[in-house]
Amino acid sequence: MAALQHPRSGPEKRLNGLRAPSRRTARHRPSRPANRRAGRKLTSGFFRSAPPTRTWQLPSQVTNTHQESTTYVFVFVPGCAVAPNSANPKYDPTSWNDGGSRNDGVTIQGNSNCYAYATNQKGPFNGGFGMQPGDASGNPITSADDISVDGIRSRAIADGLSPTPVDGGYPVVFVVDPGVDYHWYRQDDNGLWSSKPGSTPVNNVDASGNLITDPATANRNYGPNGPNYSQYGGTLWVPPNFKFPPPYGGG
Amino acid sequence: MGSTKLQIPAAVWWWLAILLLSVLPMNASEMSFPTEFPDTAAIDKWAGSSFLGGFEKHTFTHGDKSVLAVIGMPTSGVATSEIALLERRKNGAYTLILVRQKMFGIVTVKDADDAIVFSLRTPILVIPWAGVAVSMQK
Repeated sequence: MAALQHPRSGPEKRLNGLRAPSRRTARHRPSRPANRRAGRKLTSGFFRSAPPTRTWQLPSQVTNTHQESTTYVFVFVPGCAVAPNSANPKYDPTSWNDGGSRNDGVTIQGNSNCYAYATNQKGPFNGGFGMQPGDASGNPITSADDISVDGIRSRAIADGLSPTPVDGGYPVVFVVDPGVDYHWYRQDDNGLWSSKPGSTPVNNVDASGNLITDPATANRNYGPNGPNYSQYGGTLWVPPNFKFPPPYGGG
Repeated sequence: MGSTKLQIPAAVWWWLAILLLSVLPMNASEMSFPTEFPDTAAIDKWAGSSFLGGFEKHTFTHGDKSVLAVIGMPTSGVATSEIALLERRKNGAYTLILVRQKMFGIVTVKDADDAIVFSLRTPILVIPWAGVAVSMQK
């Protein structure tokens, strides 16, 4: 049941490090440099504390916001404002959407599914379409019963994803239509979440066509003919320089 | 006499119920496949909105016969396949002649001279060209 919890409740909340320091807490730490605070937030799930809608504020706004609340973790670079977690992959659909059809053995788009995209691994994999949670760790999905929150989570962790924040890593979220399918989202450098449904192009919108600011609240029902990812699987972290082992390493 | 009067409206109600049920969707969770397409653009539009994970098309010809195989993937992560085989008519329209709903795995298709063969590592479905005859219709 814990795996089904909303990320803003219970253990998941602590896991994500969502508790931003209060102003009072900040005042009691006057000697801590701003960049040090930013560094701490980088490893503690900045998304909840820095809503993506404020990611691209002007530098002056960032400065003002920083003075008002320590929940903002922007690192100020003259001339630009960058997202706090620089480890998050760049939202760059053009580098994935090279056309092609499923399992054509040639294109990135045709051979990379949502799991591959979330882990930032470009296909083809072992000559074809992939990857599936558990493939790299020798425990592939073999039945519809394996397509559950626990089944996907355990396989992804065995593949090398982390259940806790990792320095230099970035968060991914998975959702499940039990017995039917799973789907993965990754948080990009712009704070939004994107995904790649099967062999179709990368996008950052939900089933309603809205930008995904939080996979937990996004519309994940592609019915009546498509899956309904009704179960929220939770957050895992992709370690830095993550690669599937041979022969699954993407091209 | 009273019972006879009651039986007549009851029968009418039964027929109305049957008529009503016949127009209701019997199983909304199952993929619905149209049976006629005026052209390939209509097939693309239908498949694009029906298969979340994408689809692929393969055209095969044999003499005066031509078929279009659509292999769709209704899922995002799990590799699944659904088959729709359509025959091209002389007027350019397409008629659905075969449907195979969700299978786990990547289905491939090829023309093996005398038949169209769908495989899931090993052949799972063989459609002899001799069985494709709709093309002679207008």
